[in-house]
Amino acid sequence: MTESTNIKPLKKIIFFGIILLCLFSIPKVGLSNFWLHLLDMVLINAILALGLNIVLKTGQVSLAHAAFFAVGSYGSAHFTLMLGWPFLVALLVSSLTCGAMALILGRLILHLKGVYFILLTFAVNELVFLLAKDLTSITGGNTGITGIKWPHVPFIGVIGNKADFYYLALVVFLIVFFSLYIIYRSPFGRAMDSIRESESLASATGYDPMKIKLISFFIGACIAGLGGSLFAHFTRYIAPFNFTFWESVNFLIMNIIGGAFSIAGPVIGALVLTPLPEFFREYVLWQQTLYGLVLILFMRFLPDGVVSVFVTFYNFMKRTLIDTFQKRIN
Amino acid sequence: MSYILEVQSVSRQFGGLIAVNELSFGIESGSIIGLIGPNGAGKTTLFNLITGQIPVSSGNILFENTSVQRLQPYERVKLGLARTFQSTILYNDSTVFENVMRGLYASHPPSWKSYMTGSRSFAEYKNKQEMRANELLDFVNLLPFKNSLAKNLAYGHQKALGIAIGLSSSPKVFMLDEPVAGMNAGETEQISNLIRKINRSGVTILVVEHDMNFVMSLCKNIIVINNGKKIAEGPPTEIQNNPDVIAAYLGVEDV
Repeated sequence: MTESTNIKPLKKIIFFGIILLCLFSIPKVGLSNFWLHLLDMVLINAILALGLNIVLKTGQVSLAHAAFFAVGSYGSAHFTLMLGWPFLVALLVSSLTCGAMALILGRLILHLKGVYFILLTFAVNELVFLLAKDLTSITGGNTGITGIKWPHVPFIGVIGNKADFYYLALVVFLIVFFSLYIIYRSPFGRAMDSIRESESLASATGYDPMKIKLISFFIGACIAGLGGSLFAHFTRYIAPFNFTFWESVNFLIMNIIGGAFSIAGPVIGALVLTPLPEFFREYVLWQQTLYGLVLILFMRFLPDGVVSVFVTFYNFMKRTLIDTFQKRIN
Repeated sequence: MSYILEVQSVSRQFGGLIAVNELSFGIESGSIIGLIGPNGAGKTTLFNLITGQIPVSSGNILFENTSVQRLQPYERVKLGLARTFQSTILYNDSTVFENVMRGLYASHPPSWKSYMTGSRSFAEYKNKQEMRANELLDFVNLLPFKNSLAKNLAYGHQKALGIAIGLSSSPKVFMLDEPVAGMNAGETEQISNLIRKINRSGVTILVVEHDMNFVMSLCKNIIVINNGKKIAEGPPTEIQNNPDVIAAYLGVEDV
């Protein structure tokens, strides 16, 4: 377990204020469409990885995350194109649809432990993938859905380019990030940690494991739905190949490499992993092998992910500086 | 006779193996009761049936005259039935203090409203739990170790922490699964005293143990089981002289 850091609240606020300012200024620098596309995808992936993070927090390793991602995407596309709903309504309803799906599915499989649960989620993901391919009238089958509209937001109008979309994605990301931050520090966060570390002990002290896992599974699915909707209205073309088992694994890798124990972990994971396929275009065939290798190395040598390196470094610096000052004073 | 905990003709089968065979007994409120028997007698299974980790095949379990055999473990905890684990399950990567806090938060959940509004009532709740955690740690003499990680504690202290976590739900009946396994005479004496202290504060105790000296000196009544059936029940002196018990069990030195 990592040491907690104790910075004064005011310093924290200033720190985050500066970060927020930088985040909102990024598109102003004048980036090319290529970089803007990457940036927007980083935000969407970060949202999705955060959604998986809360599920992992109860100790349930889910490979069904891409399935919820799919339902969010196809749902939002369907609601806006076929039913003509406004974007924000479609965003919320597809998110809640994923949540409802999670409640039903969760009730059936969340009592399963370890590898049994993983296998069932894998099966669910495959099922949704096959449905996406076969229900041609709803999903457009293998060719998918084209012509999904850019989002339209009241008082702002149409968000019609990648730079403007960045702000929309950033706002959703920040809402998700801070919501999870509050949840993790709440008594419910403590409950999730307890269930993850020892379900036997947690239930023997009064926690209801199914209720806690269901709530986290629900929240994770809703977040995935948000990401799915954003994705659909950003790329404006979705097809089954976007939602394979490999995508689920991708979100898991982001959490592990970034550090699943911390809320910054999945964000860092998304930041690191999203651009990689672009820079390894020639080596696409090796990509999966490479990912597998990196995953194994991380699990062996850096199981708490990249964030743990920062935390260790920060604590090391703090201790070194304190020691140096004390020697000076004495 | 009104028992605080009553087992009525409880059976548990695992396929062809009958681990617990129509077992019945009652525990009076405020007493310390021992449950003994040779290895494989069904003690652990019976223990898990009462606390809810395993469902019964047939029979009733009554807690304060309420039927509980269909309830989940956490529901029985809410009614006032707590337990410790033979293998001493702890939150290994958390501090001693955090371990007890988790026990307290589990059994005394706050309202979401008070947390979200950041109101004073949540701050009061937090302070109250922290105070209770310190009290519990002091009660089991673990206060000096409150910031140590659970996995780094000495074996005896880990057992004490397990007891503190069990007490955090303010139970009416506290069930201890081999609380002195692997301890020397001095440590065993300390745990004995601790259990008496807990009992004096009004908690009914049920102990499963192999250490005969410990059980005979601590318990008011002893229930002996063998092959899933109750073979004797009574005060220590009776049990020690019971020929069936001697035949099945006694005479074997505690390990």
